[in-house]
Amino acid sequence: MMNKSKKREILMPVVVLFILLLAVPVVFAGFSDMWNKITGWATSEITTVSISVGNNAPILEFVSAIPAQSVTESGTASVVFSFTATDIDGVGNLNDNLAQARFQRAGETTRENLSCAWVSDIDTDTANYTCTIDIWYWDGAGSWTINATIEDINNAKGENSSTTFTLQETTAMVMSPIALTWPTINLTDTNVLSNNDPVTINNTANKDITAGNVKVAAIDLQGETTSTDFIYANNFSVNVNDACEGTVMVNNTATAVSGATITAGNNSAGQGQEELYSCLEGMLQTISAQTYSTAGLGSWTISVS
Amino acid sequence: MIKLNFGFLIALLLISPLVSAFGATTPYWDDNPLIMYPGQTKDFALILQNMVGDEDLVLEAELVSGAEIATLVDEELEYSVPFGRKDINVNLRVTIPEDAAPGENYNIEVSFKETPTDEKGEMVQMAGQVITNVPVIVKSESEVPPEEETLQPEEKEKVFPTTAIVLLLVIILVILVYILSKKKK
Repeated sequence: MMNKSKKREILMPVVVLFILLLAVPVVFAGFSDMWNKITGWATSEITTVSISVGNNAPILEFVSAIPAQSVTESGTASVVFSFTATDIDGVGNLNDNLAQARFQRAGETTRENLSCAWVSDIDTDTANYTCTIDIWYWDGAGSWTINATIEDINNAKGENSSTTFTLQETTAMVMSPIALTWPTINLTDTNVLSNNDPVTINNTANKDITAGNVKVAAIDLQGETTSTDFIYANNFSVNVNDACEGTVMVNNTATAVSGATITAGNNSAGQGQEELYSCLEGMLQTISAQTYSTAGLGSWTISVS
Repeated sequence: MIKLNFGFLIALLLISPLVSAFGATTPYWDDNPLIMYPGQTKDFALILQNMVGDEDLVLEAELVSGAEIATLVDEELEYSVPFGRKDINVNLRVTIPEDAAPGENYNIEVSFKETPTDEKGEMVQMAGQVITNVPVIVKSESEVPPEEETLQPEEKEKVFPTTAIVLLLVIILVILVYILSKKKK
C-alpha cells in the first residue's frame, strides 16, 4: 500500500502536465489547431475594431446686443459687437480662424465678416470674439438677424442666430449742380433748356424715393435791375428726360416731377440716381433785358421724401 | 432785339458749393410706425448727418404736417451740422389727444432744408430739402408695446460647473449616509 505522500508525489506531476496541456494551445499553433479540430472552434476570424473619440461641437451662448443703427450717407457704417463660444473639449479645440458673423435680412445682401477676432479666453472652455461688419448706405431699414458661427478643429460647427438689431430709415441725397444757368436768351425764344443741367440727384441712403416724392418748388425770377419784372415760375418745366414739355412749375409750391423715382441703390453701379432737366418754355414779351435770378425772391428747392 | 444777359453767371458758379448733401434718420417709418395710445406722450429724436463733401451745413427744421400731435421741442430750429457728423439730434415730442380713437392714423412730416446762399448773379440757385415722415397709429393702451429698453441679454449660466456638481455632491452624500446607517444597524 502506498501512503498519502507517495500518492501526492505521483499525482502532482500529472496535474501540472494537464494544466500545461491546456495552456500550450495558446502558444503552439499545431496543437491548438488539433484542439480546435477536436472542439470545432474557429481557427481564425477577421474582426473590425472601431474606436470612437468623442467631440463636442462649440456652443455660441452669447451675442452682444446691438443698439438701433443708421446708415452713413454714401458710405458704410461699421457695426461692432462680440460673442462668446464654448467648447467643453476646451478652448484649444476652438478654431479661432473660423469665427465668423453675418447680418441677414430677407431681400437684402448679407453683410459678413469671415474673420472675427479672438479677444480672450474667459475660462478653460469659453472664448470671447469681437466682430466688425460694415453696413452699406442702401441696406434696407428693418430688423436684421445677427448670425454668428465658429467651428472647432474637428470641423464641428456652432451657430447662434437668436439676436437681431434694427436698422433705421435714413433719407438722404446728394444733388449737383446746385445752380442752373441758361445761355443768352431772346425774349421770343421758347423751349430753351438749361446749359448746365441735368441736376443729378443721388439717393445716398436706404429710403426708396417713390413716385411723387421728388419735388421742385420753383420761385419767380426777379429782375436784378428792374425789380418789377419777372420770369414766372410757371414759365419753367422740369423733366426726367433731356427735353422740354416736362412738369410745369408752380410758384413757391413743391411740385412732384412726373416720372421721377430714386430707389435706394449703389450709386457707383448706376443705381439710385435721377436726372432732372429744366426748360424755360417762354416768357412775357414785355419784360426788360436784364439779369433775372433767384436772388430777390429766394432759391428753388428740390426735395426728396 | 432784346436779350437777357446771363453770361457772367458761369464764373460765379465756380465759387459756389457744387453739391448739396445731407441726410436725416428716423426711428419710425412706414414699416415700423410709432404706436401710441390716447393721452400718451413720447419724446424721440430725428438724427441729422453731413457725411459727404467737405462743407459744414446749417439746416432749417420745419414741422410740415402733424402739428396737431407733434412739436419740435428745441428752441433753435436752425441746426448746425458740421461735416463728418451723423449725430445731430432734432428733438420731437408727440402727444396723442385723450379723445383720439384707437385706429386713427397721423402722419408727421419734418422737413430739413439747407440754408440757401442767395447771391446776385446766380440765375437759379437751388437748395436741397429732405422730408422725413413719421407715421403714427393710435391703439388702445393694452395694445401698445411697452417702452423699448436696451437690455443686455444675460450670459447663460454654465450648467455643468455649478448645478450639476452640486447635484452630484448631494447624491454622493445621500449614498454615504445610507451606507453608514446600514453599517450601524
